[in-house]
Amino acid sequence: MADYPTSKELIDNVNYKLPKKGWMDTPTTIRKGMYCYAGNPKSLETVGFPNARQWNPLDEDWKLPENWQEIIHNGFKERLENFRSFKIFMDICVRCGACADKCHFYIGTGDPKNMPVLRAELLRSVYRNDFTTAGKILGKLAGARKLTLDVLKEWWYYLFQCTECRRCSVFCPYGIDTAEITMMGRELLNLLGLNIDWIATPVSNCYKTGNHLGIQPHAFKDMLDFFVEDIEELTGINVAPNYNKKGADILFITPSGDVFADPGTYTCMGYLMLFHYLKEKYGLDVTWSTYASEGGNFGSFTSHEMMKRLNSKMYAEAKRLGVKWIIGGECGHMWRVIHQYMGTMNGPADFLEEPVSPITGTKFENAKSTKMVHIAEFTADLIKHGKLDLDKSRNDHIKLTYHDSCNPSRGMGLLDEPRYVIQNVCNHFYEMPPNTIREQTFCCGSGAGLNAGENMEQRLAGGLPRANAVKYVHDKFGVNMLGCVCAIDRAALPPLMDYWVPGVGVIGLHELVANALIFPGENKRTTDLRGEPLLGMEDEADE
Amino acid sequence: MNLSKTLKKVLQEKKDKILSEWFEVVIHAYPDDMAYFLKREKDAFANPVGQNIWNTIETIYKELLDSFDKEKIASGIDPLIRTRAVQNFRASESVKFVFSLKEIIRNNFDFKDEDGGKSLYQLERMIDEIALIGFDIYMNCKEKIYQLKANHERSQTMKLLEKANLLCECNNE
Ligand code: SF4
Ligand code: SF4
Repeated sequence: MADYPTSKELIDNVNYKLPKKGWMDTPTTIRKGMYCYAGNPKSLETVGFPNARQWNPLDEDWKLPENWQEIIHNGFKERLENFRSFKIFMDICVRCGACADKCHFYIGTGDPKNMPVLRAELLRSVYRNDFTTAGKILGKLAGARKLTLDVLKEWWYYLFQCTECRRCSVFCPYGIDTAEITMMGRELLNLLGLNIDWIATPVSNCYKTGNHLGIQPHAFKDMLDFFVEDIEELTGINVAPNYNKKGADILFITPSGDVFADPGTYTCMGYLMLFHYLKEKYGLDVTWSTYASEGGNFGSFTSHEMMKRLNSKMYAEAKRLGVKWIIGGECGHMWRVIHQYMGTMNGPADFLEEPVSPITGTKFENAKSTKMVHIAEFTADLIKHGKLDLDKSRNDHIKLTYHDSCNPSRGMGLLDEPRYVIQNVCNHFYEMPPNTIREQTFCCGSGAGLNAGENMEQRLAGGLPRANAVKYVHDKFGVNMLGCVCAIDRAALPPLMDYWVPGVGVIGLHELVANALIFPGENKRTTDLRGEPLLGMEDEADE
Repeated sequence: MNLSKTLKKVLQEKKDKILSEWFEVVIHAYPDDMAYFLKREKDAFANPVGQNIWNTIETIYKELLDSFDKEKIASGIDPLIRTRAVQNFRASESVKFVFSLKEIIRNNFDFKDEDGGKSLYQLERMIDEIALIGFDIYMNCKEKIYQLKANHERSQTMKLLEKANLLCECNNE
């Protein structure tokens, strides 16, 4: 009989197995498909980030400054002193493991260093070595290790395999937020010019022209005008918005992804239609800005200073235009920054008014300091007060499920407002299983700047738990659309669906609203915003 | 293709044992911590990979004993191979688990007693067939990934920029 290997030999032959050594002794190999290209030096220069140079993560030499260890040590020290939460997170983890299997990257890649507790240990081990007595004396026995070049490379590799989604923190009995540890780690890496291009270049573009693609103001306006034409064709109504209008009631800011990338563009049409409706019916005066043309804060993926600089542009524009307050669109990290950092970073925005809906009189108490209201909350309030004329059946061709985008859900607690809106504009809505939604939502796998092309394997592996839950409702209820309130989701989820659950599209909340919104005197609608025939209108739509 | 009655009967009787041995082999392609998690966590949504593994091996086993329907085998093996295609397994490593079933069955059945190894030959041919289906799926997944990579830039902006004749504006240089 042929000499077949035993099952045990088979097990031992697979290279993917972790050596029985401790994690510190397990070398890190940077693998293709699992990392993003290095930041373009020009982009780093624009915003004054240090050590701008061409470098390649696969090269031996990362072209670091000579005293790089000293730079990190001092940067670490400074941050421990300035951010109490960071110091506490370094000290109090008891390694209970409750967070270990909660990270989508761990679940999807199977790589133990993607356990949140180990991701944090990457930094914590160096912290112990540099800043604690036990670590200095006992070294490895106390879980301490020196910051060598290999350790630094490991930091870079795994801190850019965290989408800062905070799912792990929901399960930590001590409330340790590994996302914050990642943020600090990325700040330290940035001190050495270690960034990725999908963050560095958007940051530079946002800084220069106000949005992540570097689109100039006139082109931004052209894009919106282009949507206006499309909407007129569909409804017969001209929804032309205000641009940079001084003295408008409200400034509206949305991620530029909504303006430039499908399917976010349809969400953008939704905003335009809603604001026009409110203007005609209730005289609400909203303006868009071609300067504050990006809600997404890519700065938050680099350093708190950069986050602050980009955030301040929105408020500078609100001040310049003299609006009363701000409505923010369906964005992810914009809301994390607004809700968690804006108040103490650039706020309180005292030159603006405390937001009150002029249509319903509702006071948005939670936006008292930031003066910025989430559009889902604004719209939910309008619906609650019966201010929108809606025909739910226009979304009958859609069987919807809803992905709680990490930042609005875990970062600001926006859970029920989008669902309330959905219930009012959609007849067919199916929730995914409870441990994959709301606070426990699974990340799209592409947040915090990881939405690039070259790391597609990483994104698809990280998005596996999300996709798996979508697949369940797709198979069980015939779900064909995945709703969300985040522009990164709208860019990241389509390929994720394409790979794991073909047949499921991605849609923003306000696209659904706009499909259902009945304008006085509009044309009879036979298709939705995408030109897809409405249920029962297939023949008419063809004509 | 069909297995002998005796073999089918034994495979049916020892189903649980064989499947759990097979499951062990499959999960040990992962680092120990992960293997432990794949086995311990029973919730299908908290542990989608573990779930995929179970579903896959169960389907394949069922088809071996049943009608050996190639389409059912393909759709059964797909989720696991699809997962491995994004997990840095090489093609050979991704499909290897199928072959390991041979060894496991051989350890659970005395083929010499039956028909001088004829049923063993038959069984192994069928398992090879399954592995080949797995290879095709692995290749399709890789192709899909490259296609998604290639489409990435375009899907971000190009369609609309082209429409609006704005392409020159997005040049960063
Ligand atoms: S924040 Fe999210 S991506 Fe980062 S370690 Fe926690 S669960 Fe994983
Ligand atoms: S759950 Fe909290 S305390 Fe437990 S290992 Fe994770 S970070 Fe540490």
